[in-house]
Amino acid sequence: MPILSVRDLFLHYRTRKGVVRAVDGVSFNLEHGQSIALVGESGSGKTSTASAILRMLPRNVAKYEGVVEVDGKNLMELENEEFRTQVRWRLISMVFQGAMNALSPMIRVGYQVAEPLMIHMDAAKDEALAKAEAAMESVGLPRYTVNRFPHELSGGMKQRVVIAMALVMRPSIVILDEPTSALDVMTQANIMNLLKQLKEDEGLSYIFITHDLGLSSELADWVGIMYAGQLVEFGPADIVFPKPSHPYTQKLLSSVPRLRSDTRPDSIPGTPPDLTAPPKGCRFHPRCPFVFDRCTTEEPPYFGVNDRSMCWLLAPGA
Amino acid sequence: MQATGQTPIEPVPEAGPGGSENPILVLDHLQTHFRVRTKLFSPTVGVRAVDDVSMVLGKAETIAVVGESGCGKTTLGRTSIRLIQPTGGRILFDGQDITNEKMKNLMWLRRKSQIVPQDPYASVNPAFTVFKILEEPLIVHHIGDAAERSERVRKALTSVKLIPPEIFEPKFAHMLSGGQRQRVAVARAMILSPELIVADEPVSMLDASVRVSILELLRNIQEQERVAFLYITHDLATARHFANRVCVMYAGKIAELGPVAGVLNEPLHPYTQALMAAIPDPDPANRLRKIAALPGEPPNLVDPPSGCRFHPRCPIARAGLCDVEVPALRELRPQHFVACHLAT
Repeated sequence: MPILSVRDLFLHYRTRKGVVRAVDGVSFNLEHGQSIALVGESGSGKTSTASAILRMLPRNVAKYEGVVEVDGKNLMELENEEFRTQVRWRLISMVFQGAMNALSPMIRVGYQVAEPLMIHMDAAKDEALAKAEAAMESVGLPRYTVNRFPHELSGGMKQRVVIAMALVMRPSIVILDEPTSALDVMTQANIMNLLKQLKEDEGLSYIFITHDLGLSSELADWVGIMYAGQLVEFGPADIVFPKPSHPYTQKLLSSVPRLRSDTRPDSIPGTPPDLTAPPKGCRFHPRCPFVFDRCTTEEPPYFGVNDRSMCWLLAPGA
Repeated sequence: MQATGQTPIEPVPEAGPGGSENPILVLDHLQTHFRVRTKLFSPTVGVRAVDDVSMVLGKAETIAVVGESGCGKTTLGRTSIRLIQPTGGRILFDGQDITNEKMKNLMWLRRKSQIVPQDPYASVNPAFTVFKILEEPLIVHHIGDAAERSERVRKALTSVKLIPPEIFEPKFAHMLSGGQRQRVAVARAMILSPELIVADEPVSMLDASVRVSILELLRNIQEQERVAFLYITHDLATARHFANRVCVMYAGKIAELGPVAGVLNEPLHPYTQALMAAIPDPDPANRLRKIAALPGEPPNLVDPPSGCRFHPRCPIARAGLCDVEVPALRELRPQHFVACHLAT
């Protein structure tokens, strides 16, 4: 049984311009001890998918439905208070984008890491601090950092602090939203090594959100490609990177400037659609080089078994 | 054109295609040190942001200056066109020594050199229309009358593929996408027909699909208008596809400088090697490897390490040599210079 199963997840926002279909029927499974990279451009619904899984909703929600199961239990049936106490931090924790800049400047980082334990588990302060110290050690921070203030730490160390915070309650699943986008390549490489090691040693399962396909290949057992609120392709990294089936994934991969080959990167013509009025049929059809009649009228379902894609080209007999 | 010819310009590498006889920019042992206070009322200390950097940029050539944040790459870019006053060394722009020239005598330089900044959201005036953003440099430099100016604005917009120009001219920056805004910034840099553009991370804020189109645009402009680029970036991969030569900087100094293919196919400096190892190409095998990442952080430039500044993090550093002697840039392959005692 997968540790996390997301089925037909919808999250729409109400805005003055109309309803923004940020997450529009997303489904995927996350297996124990595995990792998924959710990849897409800005505005494709990656972060909204994470918010929907963790039920962190803004006030202007127009539609929020679907199934989010952890170990077979549907979280969508929980009351808000139950969700807060039973799910957040305990079952699923999240490292938010830019979280390292949201550390409280006046509080020692050790205490900030210990706080979820005191709030969610009613742990005594000493016990919580000891656990925090252990968590911080597990992410490779030296012991003395517990007593430091955020301004005394480098960017890479602060990022390790927020990862420690996400791990301190020993959740089953961690969602990491662009955990390295503000860091230098060398620091980023160190964080990648850390995440790989945590997965190996502790069997951590995680969802890793990024816009960087190269980076996603560092961590992903599975790759989900998001476009205009939909998960247009989902498959094992071993298939998606060498042989992507969706034209958008193909285009996205060929737009990555390669460091180790002279193949020139190719740009994708056009811009991502407005999510208040996404194109009819396949949402990628206005930018797709292989578009044909059916794409403009009918929305494609998933085709393919192991690597599945929303594309009419893959329909039997197409 | 001969440089004003006092001190000889040495181990400055020859420029790339067509540049060696007629470089647009010569940096000769350039130094930019800042005075900063670490605490209120504490005495100031020197930050050696750019320390003894020499290079020659040929006309219509692109050099990518690559390094991590704090390595001095932005300071180098800004100093080379006198947006920052250097504290030592010389800058020759098109053969003229501009190192200590008074600002009021540098109006010609402001026309011949331009900058494309990093953040397309912050770098354009939100109260100006696209037309006004592009017309302003022409007014400042007293170029043409109103009719000529609007003609040039139209041409500039067309050249950055904001077509048809009439649609974009009345728009404000907030009505444009990130990519379109960066195109406006490129058009603004191009409108005075400069000979050198300092592009400081022009695509790092943009999405993957847009990034390539902006780099393509810059490359086309470079080929058609024969502009030289100092392309400042942390991204070696884009440097590979946009630049003629790569200059890898570490802690205010050049670590390695050479033709793109030479440096990236055979990186000679251990720092360049580590940098390349840290950048993944999309490949499913990546998740099974451990990246050979460097430990530690880049050094503090107030008090940089002795000898080679990279030695505390270097996997091959040799005690008694690397921590004592500052390595000179040596030409180990044709046109390929490395500042490392141990590289061969």
